[in-house]
Amino acid sequence: MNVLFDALEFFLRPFASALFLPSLLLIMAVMTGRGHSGKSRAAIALWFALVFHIAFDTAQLNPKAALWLARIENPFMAFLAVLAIPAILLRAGIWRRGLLALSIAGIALAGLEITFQYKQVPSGQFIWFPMRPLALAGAFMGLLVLAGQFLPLNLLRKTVRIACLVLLLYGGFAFRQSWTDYTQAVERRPHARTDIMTITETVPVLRDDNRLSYAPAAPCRFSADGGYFQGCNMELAQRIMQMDFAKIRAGDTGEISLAAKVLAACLALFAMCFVAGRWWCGWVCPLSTLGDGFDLIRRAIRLPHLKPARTVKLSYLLSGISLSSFGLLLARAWPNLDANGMMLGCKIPLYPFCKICPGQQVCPIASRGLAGISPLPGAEWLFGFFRYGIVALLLLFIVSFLTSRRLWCRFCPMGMLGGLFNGGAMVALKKNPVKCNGCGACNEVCPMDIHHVQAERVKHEVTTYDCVLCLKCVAACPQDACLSVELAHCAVCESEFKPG
Amino acid sequence: MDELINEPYRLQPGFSDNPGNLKRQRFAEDAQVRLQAALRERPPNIGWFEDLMRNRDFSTKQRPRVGYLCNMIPQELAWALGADAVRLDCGNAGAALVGEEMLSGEICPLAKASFGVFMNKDSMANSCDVVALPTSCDAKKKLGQILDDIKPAFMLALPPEQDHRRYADVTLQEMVRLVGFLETHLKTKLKSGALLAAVKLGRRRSAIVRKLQAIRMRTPRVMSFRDVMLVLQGSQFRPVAISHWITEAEKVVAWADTAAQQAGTTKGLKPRLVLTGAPLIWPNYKVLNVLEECGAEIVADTLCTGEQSCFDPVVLDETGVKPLLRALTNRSVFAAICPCFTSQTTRLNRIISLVEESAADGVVNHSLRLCQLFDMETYRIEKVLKARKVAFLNIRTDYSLEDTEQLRVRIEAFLETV
Repeated sequence: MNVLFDALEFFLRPFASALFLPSLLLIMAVMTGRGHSGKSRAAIALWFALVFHIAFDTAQLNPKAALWLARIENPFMAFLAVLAIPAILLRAGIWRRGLLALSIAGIALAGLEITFQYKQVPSGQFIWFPMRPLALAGAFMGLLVLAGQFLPLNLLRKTVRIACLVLLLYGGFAFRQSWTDYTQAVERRPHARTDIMTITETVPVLRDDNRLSYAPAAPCRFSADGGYFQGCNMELAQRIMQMDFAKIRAGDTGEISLAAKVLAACLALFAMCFVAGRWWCGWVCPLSTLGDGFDLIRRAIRLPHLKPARTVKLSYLLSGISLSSFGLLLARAWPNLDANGMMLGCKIPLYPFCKICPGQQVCPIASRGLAGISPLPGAEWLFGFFRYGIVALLLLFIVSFLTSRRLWCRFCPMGMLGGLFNGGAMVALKKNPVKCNGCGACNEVCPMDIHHVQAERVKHEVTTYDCVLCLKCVAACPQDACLSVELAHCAVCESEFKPG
Repeated sequence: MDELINEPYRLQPGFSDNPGNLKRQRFAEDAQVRLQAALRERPPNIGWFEDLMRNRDFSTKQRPRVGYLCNMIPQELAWALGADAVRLDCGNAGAALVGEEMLSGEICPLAKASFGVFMNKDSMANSCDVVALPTSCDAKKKLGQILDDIKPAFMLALPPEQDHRRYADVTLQEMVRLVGFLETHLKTKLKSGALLAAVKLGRRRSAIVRKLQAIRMRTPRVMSFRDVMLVLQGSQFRPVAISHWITEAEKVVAWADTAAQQAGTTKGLKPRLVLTGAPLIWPNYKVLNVLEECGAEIVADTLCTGEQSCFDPVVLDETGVKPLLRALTNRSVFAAICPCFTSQTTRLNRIISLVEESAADGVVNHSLRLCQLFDMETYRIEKVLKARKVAFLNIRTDYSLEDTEQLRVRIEAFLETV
């Protein structure tokens, strides 16, 4: 088994690099723009993969290069590149069958891996589904590819959201790498400080000494046992703020290697954002999936949603920017805190942004139940800013999702990074204005209440900063081929009239 | 009117039973039926639709009847309240004469005729319980005020532009007001389940119309456009249980589909035209008669009394009453291509899309004499189509048959150029 995975890893590692997928998609986009046929594009893609593989393997010979390359890897990127994105773009018969077969093989392999891992487990114990991240990534993408073949768009999105919720929230204990890893995680539990003003001694699954693996949107670090990914982009931003630049100037090797890790993680995160813009918010973010639970309540009691006025939308955006900037600024204080954790008379925690983020309350509760409820910080922390701030934001989170669909997402700083990539990312929402009948169904279903898609009558590009690419508009539009979503300039999915 | 605007100066409704005029109205209908009976390929159940249109006995009704004008009042509201919804826009030249004498000769023939039918006590218009109109054109606005003396009338205030961001909320409020008006006069309450069922029936009708349009775009010779109009207009212009209409219309689609498959894929020799413009209402099919007699095939249309009227479906998302009303408003008001709105973009989109999809040879614009809206739209349509090298013919006519031969000459000349 180990031999099999080592071989697989050798084959797939280059594709896990953050350098591979964005470059490949960029090349595909340029070629599609120039009108190359599907066949020539597929050929170029295979050649590029081969060349990249060889270059990657050669680069491994240099230890420094190998170190850096190791820092910007993510097994999920590998399977995005090898399984999910080809499945989206290549729908012709033989490719489709091949990729379906690969997906089933990936799931089967994961099953074998789980049985293999259980061989190391003393008999009778249930440790959920231990498997290598490579196996999990393969099975996860395989499952989603299978779902994508058979489900209509809206149902597919719900499936993907639930799957990502399970992975990100419960992966911390459900998908641990091995028996050893699981026992270590369990051992850490009593030591994990549940006082929310200190860091919990949890270790996410996808973390080693050399690498921090992030995902866009909000895979919260405070999910049970640390969650699967390291965390959201704000966790990374706070780490950047926490760096002690004085030490780095002084040549402290520990701090320098931390800085290298953090910068590499940044690059990997930007690569993921470049691939899909704010699509992560629409299809992956577990915080929004939990929030949409409240939206379900509203739908069940047949209450219509509130359409937010322009001023409301703007104030959500501006308050989000201000609060998150303030939180990051507080993180800057970390290297300068004295022994009591104070600076300039203020008591400041290690992850100040996380302490007011509702995710840090909602995700532990969702993943650990009532045991996940952490006590509110005392009023001594920054004069009560955190104590009352977290309550206010939690209320804002619940009320926004209960009344206004995804109004919260205009406030969420984790999504703001994705939004910045939305105009130029590889995923784009496109419109054929001639087909538009002006009905406004796209605005009716839009959880972000975007009017631009309906209003645009001239241009073909209708991705806005706020668009979370949930694709509800594409599913709802009654005109054939009016709205579509493109990946690397290749149309993936188009609107069509649905009778019945 | 619900706002009691006319109250101080209310007039007593009067009727006229001029038998000569009524005979004229019947003759117009019979003449059109005879012309269409001469068509070769007709659906086997076309007789059901003809009887529906020709029926003149409206004395008994099984359900309350809501009369409405224009395509922007959703029929689904009446259906959900257990009533029939009949469109009172009239296409009868005889009725237009009545309106001409009593109102004015210088107004749109549709307005004249729609008023004229109210002068006949036994007409379908007088069998309605209430009348609802949108404030689409000047004629409709004034007609609403005039008809309020005869039946309780409701005016739905339309936005001046189809700007969804600015006017969606305010137009929804108008729809809610309409629902209140109907609930008061029909003495019943609107339930979300009934509204959802009505919307679903409307969606089935849209699917039927789209299918029929697709069949005729590929093979127009399987069914005359006049028969298509006859079939479609039955669901709007006459009181009929919509589920019954759907059953019959599905038979027509199945027949047309089979005929199209048997006809094969050879491209016909007749020039293919897209028809756009002012409403053509049975029996005022004069323009269609001439076009088809001159050998043209009308492969698609953007008429609010033709395929366009049922083309846009109501998009379903949430199913409470308010969301369904929003969806109905979107379909009826914001997707409409009526020239009463400031912008022409969606109408031009539709014409150009249809020309491209159907590989049409030309566009014929029918505008009614004395209609400023359609007349002034021709300015831009002509230039845009000319820039795209699409042949264009503008026909300005009214209900009377006097100019039939002049039309024929113009149309024949046009068909020679495409």
